[in-house]
Amino acid sequence: MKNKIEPEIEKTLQSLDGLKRVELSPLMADRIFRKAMETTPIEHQEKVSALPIGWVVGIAAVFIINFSFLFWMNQVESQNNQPETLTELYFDSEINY
Amino acid sequence: MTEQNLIAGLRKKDEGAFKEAFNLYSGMILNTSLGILHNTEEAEDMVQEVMIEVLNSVHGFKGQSTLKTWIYRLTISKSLDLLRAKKRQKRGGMFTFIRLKNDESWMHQPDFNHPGALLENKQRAAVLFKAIGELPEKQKVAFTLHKLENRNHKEIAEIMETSVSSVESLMHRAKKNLQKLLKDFYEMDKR
Repeated sequence: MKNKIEPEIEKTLQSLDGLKRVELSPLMADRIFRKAMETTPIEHQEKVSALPIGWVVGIAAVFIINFSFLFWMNQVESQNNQPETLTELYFDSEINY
Repeated sequence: MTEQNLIAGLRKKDEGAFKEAFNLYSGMILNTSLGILHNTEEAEDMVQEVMIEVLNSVHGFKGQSTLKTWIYRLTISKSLDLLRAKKRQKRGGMFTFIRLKNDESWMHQPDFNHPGALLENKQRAAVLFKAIGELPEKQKVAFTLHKLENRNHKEIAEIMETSVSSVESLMHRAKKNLQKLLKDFYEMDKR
């Protein structure tokens, strides 16, 4: 069986010898060039702009959220610290004296 | 047109230069990607994709290799990317890395009939392409460049950015692996 298989293997390994090269029609060049010129500016712009703008928007969003939160926290804190009634004002002043 | 003029023309997106580049390199792109992808339509699409990439990326081409070598590298890289994506899609799922030792599924893959194969070799070539499809990437690329593109070891080494001895080793291992795969195939066939 081994003797029968080995020539088969050799013939199969040599089956790509004499393989003809495949060629495309030169007319395809026009179509591809047109397509390249149509897609180039948009795709190029997308590639150039997509990543940095994404990052800038993302980082800006994080900053805005953080600063808004800090601002809001400060406001709440200052509101809590302010005496609200005259009585509170009186007692506060008493304590201070 | 000299290579420098061709590159300058491509950088200016000159149609004449593009057509010249297409005439020079489209066959090379088609045959190389055909050898890797084993699919005529995908290989034709690859010509379009690579030629558009050439036009868009020629500004970044530093001239450290010839334009031809650079285009070979683009073709191989893009073809392997597509092949990996296809394999991922085909296998899917998270348990796919577990592969049985005696996986014979490759033998039942549909035949790829290379349009340039001689009539008397068509059937054997289809079997060989199935086996080539099972080779590791680097062996597949080296074997394809040698057999389908008739590149010598030095040229293959330059394209693959490796040494000639590495290419010799890759070719040796590719042949050994193909012999083993074909042996399994014919043994299975005879059963």
